[in-house]
Amino acid sequence: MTDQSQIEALIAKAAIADRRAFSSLYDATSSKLFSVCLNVLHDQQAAEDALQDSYIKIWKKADSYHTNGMSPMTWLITIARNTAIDRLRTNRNDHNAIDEVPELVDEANGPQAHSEQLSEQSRIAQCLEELENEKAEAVCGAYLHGLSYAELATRYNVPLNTVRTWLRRSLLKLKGCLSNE
Amino acid sequence: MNEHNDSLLVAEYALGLLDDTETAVFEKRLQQEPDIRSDFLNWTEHFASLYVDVDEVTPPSALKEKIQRRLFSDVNTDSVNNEAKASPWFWPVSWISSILFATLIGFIFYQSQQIPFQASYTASLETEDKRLQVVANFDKTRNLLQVSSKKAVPADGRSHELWLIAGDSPPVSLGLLSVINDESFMLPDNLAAVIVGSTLAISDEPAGGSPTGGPTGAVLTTATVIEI
Repeated sequence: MTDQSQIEALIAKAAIADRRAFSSLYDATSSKLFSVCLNVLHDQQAAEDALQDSYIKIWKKADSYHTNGMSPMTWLITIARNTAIDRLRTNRNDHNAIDEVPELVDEANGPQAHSEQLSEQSRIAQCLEELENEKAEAVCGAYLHGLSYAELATRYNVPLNTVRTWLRRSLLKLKGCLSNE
Repeated sequence: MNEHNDSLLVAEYALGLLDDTETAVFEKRLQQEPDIRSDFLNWTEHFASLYVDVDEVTPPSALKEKIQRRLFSDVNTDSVNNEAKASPWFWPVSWISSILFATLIGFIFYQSQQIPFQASYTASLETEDKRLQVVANFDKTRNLLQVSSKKAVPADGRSHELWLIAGDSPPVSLGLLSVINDESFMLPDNLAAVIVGSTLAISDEPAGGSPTGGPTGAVLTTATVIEI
């Protein structure tokens, strides 16, 4: 895949309505984002629709990218994931829509600041290994597949409050591990 | 709320686990509290990196065109059609215009199959050391620009970008050489109208092209588009 600085440059050009750059951005990132949509929706047609909507948003919001402080792939993945989750939950009549990437202005942490974070990309995977299997799976289920607390409770056959308590405990451990240098 | 609780709330939000009320309250704080914001960015970067290990899946090839059609020619799709369909005239008129349209498309297709690319204008761009040699040919009857390049390997982390400079107007990017290599592409009318006599230029840019919309690096070579 094209590296992060190239993707960043393509987003910047899409922000000034460069269609060719948008086309290259699509070529470089659509396989990743399609996989994001499929992971959430588990349905080819729904994932295709969500992917379309995601790129419409990416084109329209490209000019807000440079101020939000996320690395380029994270921004794109977040848009695709939230678009897919919104679709999933609307279909289920469960209106727990989350904001597409919240419009943040992060002066301190411009896109350039992300080169360090790239090197630690698999750190969360390492930290998840320190959790019990089931707990790590639940965190991944929530992020990768968009599972809600109610769905996690059903899946692990425990009351909703219990699942929330142990997921929060897992997140706390995860945070401890992630902040260890 | 202590710091731990806040950070957990941030993680739960980033995972999409908060309910409607909690989400609304949280999003207000996200806008107002810098600590929460930076915590949110951290969690989001970490979670998104879970996708590093997830296999990519290539979407069907028709999807890209659908997206481009929705974005760049939405005039006759959503809004117009919805109103038009209510009119009793819509279906017959639409039916007839569909036939006309299909005939026209067929005709254009036929023409494009029949007429080979005929360059009537050209520009030859090369650097003094000949490491970069690019020929751009322009077919005025079809607004087609064909670009072929030899030995056009930019330095690591750099790209070669092609520009059109018409008169005193600022340079307009035609694309990266790596992307448009040996490809012919259709120029929009406004560029096709001014390309003859204009200058083509190639500049050295950061990988992926100029981040500003105008050339930022050294101009490697320029040439005027002239009649063959």
